Amino acid sequence: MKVTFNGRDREVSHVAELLPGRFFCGIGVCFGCVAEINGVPEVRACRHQLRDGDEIRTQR
Amino acid sequence: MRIVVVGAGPAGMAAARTAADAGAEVTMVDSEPEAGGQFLRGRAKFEHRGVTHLKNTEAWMVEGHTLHLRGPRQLHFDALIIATGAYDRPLPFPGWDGPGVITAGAAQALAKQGVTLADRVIVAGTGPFLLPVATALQNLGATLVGVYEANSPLAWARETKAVLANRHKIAELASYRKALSHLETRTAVIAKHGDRVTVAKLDRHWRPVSHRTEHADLVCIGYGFLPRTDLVPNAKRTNDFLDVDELQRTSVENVYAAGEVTGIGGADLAEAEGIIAGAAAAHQEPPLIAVEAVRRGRLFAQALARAHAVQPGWQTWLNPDTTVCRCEKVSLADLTDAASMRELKLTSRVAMGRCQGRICARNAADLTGIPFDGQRRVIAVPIPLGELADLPEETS
Repeated sequence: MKVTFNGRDREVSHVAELLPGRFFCGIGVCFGCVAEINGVPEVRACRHQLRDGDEIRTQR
Repeated sequence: MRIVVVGAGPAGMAAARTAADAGAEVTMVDSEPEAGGQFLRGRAKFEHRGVTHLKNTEAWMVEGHTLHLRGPRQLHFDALIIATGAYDRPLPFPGWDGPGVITAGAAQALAKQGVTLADRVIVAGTGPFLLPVATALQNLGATLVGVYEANSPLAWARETKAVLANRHKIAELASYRKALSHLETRTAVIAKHGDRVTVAKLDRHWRPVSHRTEHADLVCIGYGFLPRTDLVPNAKRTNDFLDVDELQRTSVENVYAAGEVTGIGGADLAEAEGIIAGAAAAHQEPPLIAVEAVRRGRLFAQALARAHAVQPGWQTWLNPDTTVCRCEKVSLADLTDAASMRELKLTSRVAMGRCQGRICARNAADLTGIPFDGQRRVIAVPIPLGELADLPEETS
C-alpha cells in the first residue's frame, strides 16, 4: 500500500510497519498505535484497514 | 425477550444462535468488521435468523437494562451476555517497550492477515497458545529462532484427569510438529537490545540461572491472558476472570458471561459456554451435550491455569529503569510505596494512560505487592465528550 506517514511517502504491507515500538497488542487493547488517520484523531491504527492513499500522522 | 450479546467470537456467536433459536430477539454487538473474534478472525461467515449483527461497534457501559454503544446509541435488553474474550498478558523486561517486541496475539492477528514483520522471530511466554503462533509465523516463511516456554511441561504429568478428558487437545499438538522442534522449556527472553536478545534458562520460580544471546528481529510474548471484563466492573471475579454459575450467570442480575472472559480453555469450551448462556438467557434448558463439554473443558482450563501459571521470578528480569507502564513511561524505579492500587496510580501515574492499565496494572500490582483487585473501569472504551453530550437525558 502506498501511504503518507507524517508527511512522507511510504510503501508498506501493514500499518504495523509504520509504528515500530508502538504497535504492540494488535487487537485494540493497548492504545500504543494511536494515530491520526485521514484526519480522524485518536484512531487505534491496528483496527484500521490500511488503503492506498491513507494519511497517517503521529506528530504535528 | 430482548437479548444482547457483546462479542462475536466462538462464545458470542454460539450464544446468539442459541438464544435466537429459542425465540429471543437477539442483537450481537462486536467491535470487529467481521464475526469470528480473535480465534476465527473474519473467517466466520456469520448469518443467523433472528440475530442482528452490529459490526465495528464498541460498547462502553452497562446501565441497568441499557447497553451504551459508541455512536452514541443505546440498546435495551432483558438479558445481556458478555462474550468479550481475553488478551495476552505481557511481562516487562529491558527492551520490551522498544521496536521488535509485540504480543503473541498481535503476531497471530498479523499472521492471519499474511504479515510477519520480520525474518528472524522468537515466540516466548507460557501456555500452548505459543505453538500455533510460532507455526503461523513459520508458515509465512519466517525463521523461528526459538519458542521459549517459561514453565516445565512436567506440570502436566499431575493433570491426568484433565488430559484424559481432553485427548483431542493433545492430538492437536501434532499439528505444531515443525514449531515443537524449536521448543525450549524453563526458558524466557529477559532482555532485547536491537537484534540482540538475552535468552535465559529459568529455575522453577522463573529466576534466571544462566543466559545466552540470540539474534532476532521480532520477539512475540504472551504470558497467559487477561479477560476483558470492562462492561461489568462490579461482577464477582476470581483472579480477574468472571465468576459464573452452572447457567453462566454472573453475580449481576440478568448478565451472563461466556468464553475466555470466564477462564482460558480454548474455542470449544467457549462455544459450549455460549450455548449454555444463550439457552439460559432465553429461559430454556441448556442442551446436555454442551453441559458435558463445559464440564470436560473446565477440567482442561483449570489444569492449564495451574501448569502455566506466571511465577514471581519474572520480577527479577527488570532493571530500575525498565518501563512498567508503556503509556505513561513509568519505570520500575518510579513505582512508589502505596497501600492501594488507587494510591499507586495517583502517585506514580502507572495505569493512568490511554490503555487505562490494561497492559500494566496487573504487573504493577505484582511488582509492588499491592493486592490486585481486578480491573474495574466505569467506561470500557474512550469516548469523545461530544458523544456524551449527545446522549438523551433519560435513557431508561
